[in-house]
Amino acid sequence: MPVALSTAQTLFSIALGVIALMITGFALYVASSVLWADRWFRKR
Amino acid sequence: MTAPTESKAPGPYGRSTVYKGRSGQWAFVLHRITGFLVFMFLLLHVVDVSLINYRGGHLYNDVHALYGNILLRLFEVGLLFGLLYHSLNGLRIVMVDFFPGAVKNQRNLFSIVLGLSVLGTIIGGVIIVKPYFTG
Repeated sequence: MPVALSTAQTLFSIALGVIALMITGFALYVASSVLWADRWFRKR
Repeated sequence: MTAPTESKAPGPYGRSTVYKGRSGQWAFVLHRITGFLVFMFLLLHVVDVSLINYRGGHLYNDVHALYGNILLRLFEVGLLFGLLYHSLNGLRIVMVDFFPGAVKNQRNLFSIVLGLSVLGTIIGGVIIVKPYFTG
């Protein structure tokens, strides 16, 4: 049986979900930057 | 007065200071990601702890009850890895800065950092997740 969340719990869950998405987006951006960004160079 | 011009010349060490496809690259990438994770959670943590002042702590208890949820427990396991890796890799960077000889062993140091982080996460992960199943 689903448990009803209070307003505070709902707001906190949304905030946590938002930062989880931001962290995932940032992780994808940083990890993918090794393929397309011009800051990476091979050691000569 | 002349406008500043942007130099396109490589730095004093040529183009060899930024690594590609090696352990240093992944150490840097992981350090940025875990740093962002820890910072973002810290912001939220300030909010959830500050709830102790409202409604005699009921709001605090209400929100902290969510931490018993399996999703939040798994999030905390990820957070533990982020904290362990970020702090240990920070020490690795300090070590390389203070002891020039350490740069020769930076790859081994990275392996040690990663190994200790994974080991700590497994041990801590069991402690964090186990109560969900055992009650």
